[in-house]
Amino acid sequence: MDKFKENFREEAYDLLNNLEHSLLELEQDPTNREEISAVFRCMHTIKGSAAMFGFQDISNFAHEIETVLELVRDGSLTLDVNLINITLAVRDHIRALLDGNGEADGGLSAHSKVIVSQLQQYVSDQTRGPQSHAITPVPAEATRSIGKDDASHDSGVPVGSDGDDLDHFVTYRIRFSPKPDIYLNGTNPLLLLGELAEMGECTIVPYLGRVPKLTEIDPLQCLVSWDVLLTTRKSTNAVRDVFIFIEDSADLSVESIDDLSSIDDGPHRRLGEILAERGVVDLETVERAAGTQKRLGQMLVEQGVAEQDVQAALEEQQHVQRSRERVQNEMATSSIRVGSDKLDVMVDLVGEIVTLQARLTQTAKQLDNPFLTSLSENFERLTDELRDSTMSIRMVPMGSTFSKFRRLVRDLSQELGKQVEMITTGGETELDKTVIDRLNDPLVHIIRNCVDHGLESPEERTRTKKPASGTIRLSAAHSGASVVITIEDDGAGLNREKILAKARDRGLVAANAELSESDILHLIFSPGFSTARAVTQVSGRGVGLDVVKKEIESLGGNVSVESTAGIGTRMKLTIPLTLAIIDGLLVEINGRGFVFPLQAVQECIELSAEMRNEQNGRKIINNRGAVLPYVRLRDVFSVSGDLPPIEQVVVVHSPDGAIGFVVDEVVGDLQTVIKNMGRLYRNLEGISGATILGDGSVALILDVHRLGTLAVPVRA
Amino acid sequence: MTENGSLKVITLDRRVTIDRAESLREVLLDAVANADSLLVNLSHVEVIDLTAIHLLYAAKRQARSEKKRFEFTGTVPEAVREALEHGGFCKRAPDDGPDLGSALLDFERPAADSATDRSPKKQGVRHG
Repeated sequence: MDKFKENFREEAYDLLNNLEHSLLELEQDPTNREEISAVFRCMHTIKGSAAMFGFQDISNFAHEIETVLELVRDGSLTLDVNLINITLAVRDHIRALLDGNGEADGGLSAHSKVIVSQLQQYVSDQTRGPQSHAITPVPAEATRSIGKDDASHDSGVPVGSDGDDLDHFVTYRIRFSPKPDIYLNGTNPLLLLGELAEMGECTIVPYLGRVPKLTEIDPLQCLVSWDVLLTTRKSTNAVRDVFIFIEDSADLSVESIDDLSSIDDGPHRRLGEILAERGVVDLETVERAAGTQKRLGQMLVEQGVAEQDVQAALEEQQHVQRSRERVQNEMATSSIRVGSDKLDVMVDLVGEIVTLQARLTQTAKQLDNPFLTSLSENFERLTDELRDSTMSIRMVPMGSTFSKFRRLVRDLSQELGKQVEMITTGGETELDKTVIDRLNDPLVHIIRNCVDHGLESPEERTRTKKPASGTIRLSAAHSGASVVITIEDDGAGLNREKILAKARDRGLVAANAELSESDILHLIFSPGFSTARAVTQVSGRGVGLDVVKKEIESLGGNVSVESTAGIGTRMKLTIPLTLAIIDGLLVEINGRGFVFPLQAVQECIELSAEMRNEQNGRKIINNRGAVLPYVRLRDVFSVSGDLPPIEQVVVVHSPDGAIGFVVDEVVGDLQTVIKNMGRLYRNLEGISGATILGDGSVALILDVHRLGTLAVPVRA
Repeated sequence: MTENGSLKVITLDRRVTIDRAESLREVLLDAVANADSLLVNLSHVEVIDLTAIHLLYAAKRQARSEKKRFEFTGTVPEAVREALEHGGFCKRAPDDGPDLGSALLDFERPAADSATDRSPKKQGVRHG
């Protein structure tokens, strides 16, 4: 059962996130019907499943807000900021209840009551007058079951609601026979049937047997009756309510014939059983007919059973079958939750296969055996597909993270008395789940900075002729094998003098150093730059922008910043799509392999002995007119052996400009499965991991940004 | 069914509802009596109710009993399709008039043989 509860909790977290998202949307456009129903649905689902899994407090609490939301949905209450605030508080409270195992302790249940009374206050303020929809408070301790056939008017649900939905699907057989004079009271039976069709999956079988020939018909009489099979979550009462105004002009029966509360495949009902159940024939006749060689339906028709009845029974059989399949599909295959640790194992295994496959390719090439080569090529194709689809499983759209930030911005701006509008684009951009998780903290930090330091107060903005409300743009977009996330504000911009003054003050730059504009801006990422104010602002985290930078770089990405005084600041994070497999450039130094992340590589050029000597031992080369400092990796890793006559320079771009890394030979690009280094080597700087090459040997994967700063400590 | 002989096309009005039911019946009766083949054009219908659907079924029965052809022509407007589907007369009403007859439940011929051979897994099997 605990496992179910865990599932419920996960699902509820998702729902709460959706809820939050919809509420924030509604804040922009309070009349958006779709979002209003989305909010309602979320709350409703939470209520239903909370009750099902025994989280009574949550269920009761959700019921309260649902009651109010229903008024909004019906249009008898308009949504405004106050109600959104309360609903957001409700959302947070439910989350707190979920975290606390769903049982309200003293503090939480007191808080429940506070929120409920806020709600009641709100509703009575809004609906003054004789028909005010008072909500009856349900004490948090009270238990209430959300059960079958739950009549709609219990526990203060306002009149006009169609009652609680069930927590599972039920198939009803509705037999609706209007009296011939039904038209006389202005009823259009088709509209009623249409209403049923909207409640769920519906099969409608008309009985036309009584329709005579044209010469005999009285066009003002209704001669059709219907069997309707409806699979829905509505209660019997809700179904009956459709026919509430014509109870006297029709015969109506509503029976539940299939309960889909479990996805177990119930016994398939045979045609004969259905017919017997409907009272068309008795079982004995069925048995007799079944004894013959013919199809039962045909046999019964021959025995004088009306075709229509057989027809309707067949429809019923099909409908039940279909709705079972649908519910099963919905519950079973639409999506499954898998722990991300399982996925990690899978990605690891795929990594192993990719490695093994590379060895196979190499072996096949060496043996020069056509059969083996063809096998290996086929295997390679499959491996590629397997790799891609495994990777795609781990891809998650950024959107969910974005909506979290909208809430953050909203709360922060209220706290700081600023008006902030947040615009997000590219929420559909997908990134590896691990990457997204690790991006969260850095992004929170950057956005907090934007709201707190970047954007001015409304007064200040008005003074500088900007709109009072500031804008933060958060966008994500693919760019090759990486994703670029931009965080942009239209605030005051960074003050270069102040940054420089502070950096000097803290000894981060020499007093006489000449720095470019961009260099100055990037000082904000230096360790030890973070101001006291920033530390208190994100108290408890102790995060400065240097930590942000470090985190992004540990993801294999980089950060850059641009700013124009008075116009705003833009931070750009470039993040690789995935952490597990990258495209690499394999190089060799004295026969040993090293891998550059291909994404960072700009070009490869040659370094001849003459060029080495040209610069009097200074490690720079003239690369098409630009000065390119270089580092000999042989020296960095203390590799012995003779220098080849012509070395290769791998030119890598970094935020600080291009750097060349000198190697013996460039072998070529390859798919690199990243393996973590053992515990002893984990903290080695300049190396981000290792990979296994086709021949089984190990190659180190270089952390080029780190290596660059290690090897070129001061750039002038 | 007679293929030769006179043909009559009945074009239904914008509204075919209960208030016009009596006159629609007259028109249909007249047509069945005076032509061997009837084509009903529903293209212009914007509102249709159960009375009209009743009459179409009745006319079909009349035509069948007199061994006359009764079919649809033109297009089937959205309003008509919706009404037919809501009433369960069609599982999925076609856009084209000529396809309508075979899509209507119990219209072309009484449901019989199809009732006997049907896999319950298949959806939307026609049995008209």
